Amino acid sequence: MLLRYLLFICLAFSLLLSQSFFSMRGLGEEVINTDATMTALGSAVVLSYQNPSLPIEKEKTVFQAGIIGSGVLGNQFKYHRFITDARPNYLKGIFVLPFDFSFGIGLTEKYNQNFNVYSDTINHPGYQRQIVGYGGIYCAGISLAKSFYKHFAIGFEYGRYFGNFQELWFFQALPSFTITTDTVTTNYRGDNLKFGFGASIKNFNLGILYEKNLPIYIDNRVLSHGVLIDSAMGLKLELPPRIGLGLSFSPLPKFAIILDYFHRQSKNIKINQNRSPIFQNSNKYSIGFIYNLDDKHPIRFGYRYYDWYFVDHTNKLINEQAITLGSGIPIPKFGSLEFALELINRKGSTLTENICRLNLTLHYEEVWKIRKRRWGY
Amino acid sequence: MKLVNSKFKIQNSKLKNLIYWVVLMTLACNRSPVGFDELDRNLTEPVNFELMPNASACYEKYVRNGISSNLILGKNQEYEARVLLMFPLADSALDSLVSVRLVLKTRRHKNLPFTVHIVQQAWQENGVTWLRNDSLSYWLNPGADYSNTIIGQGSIGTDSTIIMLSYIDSLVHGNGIILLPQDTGFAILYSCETSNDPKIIYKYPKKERTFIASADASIIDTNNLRKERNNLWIGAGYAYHTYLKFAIDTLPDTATITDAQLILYPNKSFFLTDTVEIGVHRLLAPYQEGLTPKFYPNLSAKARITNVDTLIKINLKDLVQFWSMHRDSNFGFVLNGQPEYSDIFRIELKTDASNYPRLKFGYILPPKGKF
Repeated sequence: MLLRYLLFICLAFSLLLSQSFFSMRGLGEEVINTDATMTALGSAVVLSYQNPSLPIEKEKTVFQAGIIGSGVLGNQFKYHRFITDARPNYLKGIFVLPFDFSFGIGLTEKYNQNFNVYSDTINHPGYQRQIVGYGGIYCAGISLAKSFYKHFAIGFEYGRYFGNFQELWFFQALPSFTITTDTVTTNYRGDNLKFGFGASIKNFNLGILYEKNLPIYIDNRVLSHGVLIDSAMGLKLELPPRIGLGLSFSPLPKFAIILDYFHRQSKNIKINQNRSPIFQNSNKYSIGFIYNLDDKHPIRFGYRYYDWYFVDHTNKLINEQAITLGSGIPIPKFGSLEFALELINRKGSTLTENICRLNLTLHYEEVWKIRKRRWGY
Repeated sequence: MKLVNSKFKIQNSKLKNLIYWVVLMTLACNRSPVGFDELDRNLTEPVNFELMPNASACYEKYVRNGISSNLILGKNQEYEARVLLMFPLADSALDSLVSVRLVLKTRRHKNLPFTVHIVQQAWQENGVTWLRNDSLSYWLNPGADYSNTIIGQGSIGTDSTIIMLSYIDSLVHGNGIILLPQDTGFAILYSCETSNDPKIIYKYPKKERTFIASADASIIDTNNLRKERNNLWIGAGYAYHTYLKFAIDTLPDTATITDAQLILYPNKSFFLTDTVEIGVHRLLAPYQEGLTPKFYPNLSAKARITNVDTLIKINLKDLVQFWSMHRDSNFGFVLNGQPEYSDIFRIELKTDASNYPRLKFGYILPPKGKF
């Protein structure tokens, strides 16, 4: 019954559009999740394939594709609003090379800028504005990793940021609903470097991730009735590095604990050399647990606490807490369908969001077998 | 009992599903202002403006009514409307004719007496007016050149009118006939642009032969109607055009017009029908006194009006937005009847300071860029 509901919700989400109400600020909502496996463990970023050194053992070709669907119930004062979103957010392929090398390609969503808000009609009677934003910043990356002694690995990834964001401004004179629109478009381009380290010794796994962002360049245009009326081209956005640490430990054969943390000195975000007071340092802490019912049926659950990288309109830092859970359904001769459900509570000063987000990842995994030549056939 | 229980469970479950989806969709569709405060840019409030015209005028002209589906016949103290009809009549076997009947179908009845005369000068349906017999030449006498001999007379009937015609030779070799009203009031007949076209029927001893009108037109003029220089009238049949120009050049270049209403206050009206329509045409060149202005053929806006309206509002949002974006195209606009060849009406607008035509509009400025 639950699964039926979830599938129905996912279908409904795909018909509608929008995301966090906070996405109007900064670069929008930072997308910290990638695959459903690590999302279910409280968003263990550093031990996921976001770390270019992983997996440590370079034996399998892996391919993953993920989509997320979410429903956000926003509450502010006496008002409530439900907005939904469904979109693909993740593609990753890792190919094994000789001499314990691996080569990876990937496409991930880094920032989501979907939103849909209406203005107040009580303090401003006679009209209502609706602003709809859609788009985001994505990163296409290629990576190279090397494993040592099947216990250590290092990896490097080069990523190219690209993105497009559009804000549609609707004005509706009430009650005649005369609609006019202006459009704000923003394009992003930039580069990103990632360095990863992974170690696996006995029951312990360790991951370290350092993400260095080269400047992101922003082109901003305002169009009124299709005519360009204002533009700011080549704005330079400097995004400070992100540092992460992940640790997992299996005290029992079927049980593992995962700890994950990352930090970004987001206060130092600069646009054209200028800092903005809205940006604050960002931290994410998570803990996750896996219990393997058997080899093919893991139960995952976790918790995360995450301070966003910007404050809300009253200068209160936005933070979120999430309970996560998930599992996987094996697909014979292919891999598995991993899923994770996040129940998120996100808070600003007056605005609270309760989010139910479903992550689905199609996981393909292949073991390369060296065919041994036998005489006689 | 078990069956009943299971049915109840199924219905209960369906009801729950329905409630669940109704709640979900209601929340999804509401327009509450959750999160709007998070917008990190200052918004400008809408600005409302009211402008009086910086130029206005009114001019009048005769209208070519030939293409109308109506034939208007009648007169009063202000207007006179005559009807011209042309039939492709055969000139053979006239000796054996028993009678010739003119048959007219009535669209709007008025028991109006009229006489029928033979027109003495050729005319063209698409060019004829009170003054002109076609688009190039004029009648010798305004109101058409016709013989004084009455070849038929009668009154407009409720559904149709049948008039016996005489002087058949002259009728056959003439340039059609003209109907002249003999009393006040107006009747409307169907023209040959409809399926109820005017006919002439030849009656022979054993058969009848019908001729359908090949051309017809109303020609309309005014009587004792004096328009003062500062009057602003809108009229059809005999056309009055009101020209207005508003100086919207003071608007910011990037303004988005949220609403624009042309406000008119009718003072006195003359309508033949219950409602009429007036339209707005933007001019293509500056208005020049004494010259008929050229205007864009497509309507910029229109409004339907009744004869009891004390206020007329015409939505000019798109037109003002166009001018806001094309400043050098603002030559003003004319208000005219829609169409002006099919009816007789006149709306006289108030022109005192407090009731002068005005343009009320609002605009907003575009948002700033995200960064």
